[in-house]
Amino acid sequence: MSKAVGLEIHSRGIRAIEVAGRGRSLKIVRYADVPLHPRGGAPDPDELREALRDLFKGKFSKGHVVVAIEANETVVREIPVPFSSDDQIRKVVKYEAEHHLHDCDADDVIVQYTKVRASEEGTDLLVFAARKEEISRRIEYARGAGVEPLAMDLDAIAFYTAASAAGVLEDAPHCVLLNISHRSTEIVVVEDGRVRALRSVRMGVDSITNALARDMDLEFSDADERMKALTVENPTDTLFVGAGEDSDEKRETEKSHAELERDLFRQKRDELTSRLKREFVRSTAVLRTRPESVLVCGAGLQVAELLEQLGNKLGLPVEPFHPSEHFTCKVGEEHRAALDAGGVVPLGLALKLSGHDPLGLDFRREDLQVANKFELMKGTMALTVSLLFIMLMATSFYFIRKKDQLRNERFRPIMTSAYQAFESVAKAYNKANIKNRRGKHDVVNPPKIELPPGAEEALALKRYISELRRMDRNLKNQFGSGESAASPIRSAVGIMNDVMRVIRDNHKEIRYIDFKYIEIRQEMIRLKVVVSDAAGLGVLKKKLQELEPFKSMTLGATQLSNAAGTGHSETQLEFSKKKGRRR
Amino acid sequence: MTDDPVKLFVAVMGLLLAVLSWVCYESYRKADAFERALQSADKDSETIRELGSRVQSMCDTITKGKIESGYLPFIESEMNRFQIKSSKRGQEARPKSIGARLEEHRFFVEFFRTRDSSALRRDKIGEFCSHVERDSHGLLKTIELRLTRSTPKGAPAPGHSDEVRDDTYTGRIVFGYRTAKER
Repeated sequence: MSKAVGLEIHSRGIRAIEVAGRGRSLKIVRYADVPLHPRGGAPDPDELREALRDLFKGKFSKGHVVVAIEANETVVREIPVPFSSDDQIRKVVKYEAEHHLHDCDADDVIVQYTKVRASEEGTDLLVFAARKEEISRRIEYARGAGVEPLAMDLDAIAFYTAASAAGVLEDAPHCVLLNISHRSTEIVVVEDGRVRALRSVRMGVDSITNALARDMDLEFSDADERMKALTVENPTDTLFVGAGEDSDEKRETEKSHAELERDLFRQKRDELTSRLKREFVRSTAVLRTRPESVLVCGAGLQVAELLEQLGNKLGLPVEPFHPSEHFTCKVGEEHRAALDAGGVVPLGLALKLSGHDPLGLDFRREDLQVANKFELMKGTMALTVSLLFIMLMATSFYFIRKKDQLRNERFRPIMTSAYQAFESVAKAYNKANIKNRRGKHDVVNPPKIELPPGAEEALALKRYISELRRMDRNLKNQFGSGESAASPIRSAVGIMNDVMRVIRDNHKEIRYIDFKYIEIRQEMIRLKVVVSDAAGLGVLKKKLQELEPFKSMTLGATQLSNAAGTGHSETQLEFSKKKGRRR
Repeated sequence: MTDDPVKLFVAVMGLLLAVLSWVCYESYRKADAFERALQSADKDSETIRELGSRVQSMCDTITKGKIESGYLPFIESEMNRFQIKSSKRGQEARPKSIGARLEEHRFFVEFFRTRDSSALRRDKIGEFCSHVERDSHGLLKTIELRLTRSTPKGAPAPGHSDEVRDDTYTGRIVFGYRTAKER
């Protein structure tokens, strides 16, 4: 979720803040403080709706809005429960809270809680009960401007959220957060960085304004103007501007009037700080250790010397919490002061949707739950769908590219070489003028291949193979192909030539030889020879038996006899294949 | 149709994703089929090369040896070339069975005794047979050689030319080739 808007509707107007990004990249991009009814009291609904419409017609995002509920309109109680699991707590918290709701029914409130202490006996809960009526009213206001709030949270808790996100609670884990607004003050007691107690007291800056109006006999708006004049840096110099132009008597009167007004302001401010101190002491009574500091936000920051006085009374450092000091701020310099004075609550609300929601409270529950859950998921869904789209597109593209690459870089050369090989064979076959079974010239035409080839073109190779096999078979039938499966024939003429070579090489020893009969077969060799004597025959036999295939043959018995009329001897040499033993 | 924009959005996105997934699956399937076809084509191409080389070599042999019309005419043409006259020649009617798997196709040439110039000397027979084998590029081999001296006196052994002797033979030469038996 890149953008989130926090919206605070308070007694004097509306404040909205828009943040963008998450974590360290989070920045405040927009702030608006729209005053509505300086007279005090409840805001005029029509005026409020109109202001909200104007606000969201502008640059504020409508998508992710969190609205504040004032803590002073909420019942806050600390309730112990005898178990610690969230499931069990969730089941009973509403009924437990019912005992503490005196003026309304449990069904009329939304109950939220946070654990403040856990022990073996159970858990202490800080329970918040907000009237559904109040929640609905705020939702309706927002809807009037075309905005569906995704969540609702307490203003005091929003301050805690902002302080937590700013990291100030890490430096001061035991502290008190004071949201001094116009009509009330929320006191959030923080122990070990976690909310320990929350109180809302109906006492705010308006107590001073009301006193001024009443005692000085002024309209509330005029008194408010006076208050603003008194809250500048040096209040004594700014009272009743233009007094120098009047008479001394009048000036004296006006001076005394100003002094009276200032005295009254100081008195009421003292009363406010005294009451704040009392409430502070009550609220922090629950703590085991004394708070180390006090952080303040809200309209109280604009009351002159209020923080100093409060610090003196409490005996603690009291510091203002300025959002612009803790977050990257893209808001114009002219709006920084207003942002620091009033932007803490809307900032805390917006942070809920920017990934920083330490307590996880949300008052849009039960029948007031966000109907349009899609709004919550829209961004995530859009991102997921986009990523899926990109991933699928990339995958498709990868496979298409891979296919093209395979086709062009590997398949095409294979097909081309196969085609060329077949074409060359077919040419040789046709040239050899081979006859087919019917005795006619067998002509082979290579099937053409379309290039670049497709996967189906691979079938052409099968056709080539089938055609080559047919050609091979045809050749074998007609000529025999000396295929490797057949055992080789030993050439009879080769054997005869070998015999003659032996005789040539050994003619001195053999001396005389005449072949009367030569029979050379694969399995038998028979030679009828006339030789000079037994010695010559012996040499011949010996030399022949060193030759293949005589080596692997057996020589039968030889007997010399006189060759008629030659003076030489005659004999028959019969070599036959050795027969292997049969089992 | 639904009026709910969320459902509509989800439906449209779902449909788009489904279509894209299908496109992606199809492209994967095609690439995969192509890859498998390629492997098969690789093997086929190898087979084509082997078969083709065998057929081509055979065809070249036949062309070079001019044995397109068959072995018997080829042998006859070789005989004419060597001016050899035969009394009988032909192809054995049935191939001779060699073991269980092979058979031998045989062509024979027979010579009887003559007294003219066509009488065969042993070296001429040897030369003739060698040429038949060489010109058929090894397709035909001299399977059998049966030669009987047709004159009473033999030749002296080489190097013993004390007298010149007649050295003519009669007999039978068998050429042939072997193939695997057709099943």
